[in-house]
Amino acid sequence: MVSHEVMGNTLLLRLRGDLDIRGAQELRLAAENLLRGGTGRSVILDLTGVEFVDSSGLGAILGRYRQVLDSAGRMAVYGASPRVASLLEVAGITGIIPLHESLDRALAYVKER
Amino acid sequence: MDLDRPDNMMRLEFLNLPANVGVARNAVATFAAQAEFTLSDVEEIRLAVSEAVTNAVVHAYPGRRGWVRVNARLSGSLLELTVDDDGQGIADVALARQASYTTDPERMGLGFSFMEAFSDRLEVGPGPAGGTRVFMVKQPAAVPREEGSSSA
Ligand SMILES: Nc1ncnc2c1ncn2[C@@H]1O[C@H](COP(=O)(O)OP(=O)(O)OP(=O)(O)O)[C@@H](O)[C@H]1O
Ligand SMILES: [Mg+2]
Repeated sequence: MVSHEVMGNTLLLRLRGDLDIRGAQELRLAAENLLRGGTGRSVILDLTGVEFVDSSGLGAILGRYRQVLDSAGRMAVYGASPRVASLLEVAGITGIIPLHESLDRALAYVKER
Repeated sequence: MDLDRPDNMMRLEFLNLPANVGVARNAVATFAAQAEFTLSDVEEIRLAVSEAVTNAVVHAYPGRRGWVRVNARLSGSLLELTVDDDGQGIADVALARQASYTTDPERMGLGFSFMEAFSDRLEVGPGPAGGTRVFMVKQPAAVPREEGSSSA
C-alpha cells in the first residue's frame, strides 16, 4: 500500500489501493518510521493509485501534515482523482495542503521556502 | 417478483477487525449494484458503509473483540442498510452527529457527516439489544433524461 522514495530533503510516499482504516494505519506507520529516521523533512503524497478514501484516510493525511509541521517542513499532495479531490475539499484539507497536478509541481511547492 | 425491481436481502456478521471494513464496504457495493444505482451512487454507498462499519470497529468495543452486523435490503430501487454493534453505545447522539465532533484526537469527526451527506436518510441510536444501530436509506439519483431522445 505504501512505498517511498527520498528526494533530497523530501520524502515521497506513494499510496496504492484503499485509504481506509487499514491504509491509514499503514500510512501513519510508514511516515513515523521514515521521518523519525531523519529521512527528509517535507512530505509529498502520491495519490495516483488511490481509488477510495474515507474519513480515516483523511485523518491520516492531516496527521502527516501535523507531523511535517513539527519538523518545519512542507506537505503537498498530487495525483488525486476527481472523486478523492472533492472529498479532500469537502473536508477542508485542500485549504491546508494544496493539491497539485504532478510530482514536479508538488516538488516545486515544497521547495519554495 | 418484478425483475426490473429486484427485492433482495443480505446479512453479514464479522469481528471488529480493520480488515473487515473493506470486506463489508465492497460486499454492500456489489449487492447494491443489482439495482439502478449510478456509479456515483455506488461510490457514495461505499463511503457511507465504510464510515458506519469503521465506527463500529473503532468506537464500539474499546480494547476488546466484538461482532458487527450489516443488513442490506433492496426493495424496488431503494437500498436500506443497518449497521449494528453490541458495544458501549453513544451517550449523546445529537452531539456525536455534529460535524467535527470526535472522542478520538487522531480523527476528524467526519464519519456521521459523510453518512448524512451521502445517504438519503440517516438514523442513529441504540439497537434493540443495546449497542449502536445506524440505519441508512439510499435512493438512486434521478437519471437525467437525454435531450431530444423523443423525436417529434
Ligand atoms: N458504533 C459506535 N459506538 C460507540 N461510539 C460511537 C459509534 N459510532 C460513533 N461513535 C461516537 O461518535 C463520535 C463521532 O463519530 P464520527 O464517525 O462522526 O467521527 P469519528 O469516528 O470520531 O471520526 P472520523 O469518522 O472522522 O474518523 C465518535 O468519536 C464516537 O465517540
Ligand atoms: Mg467515524
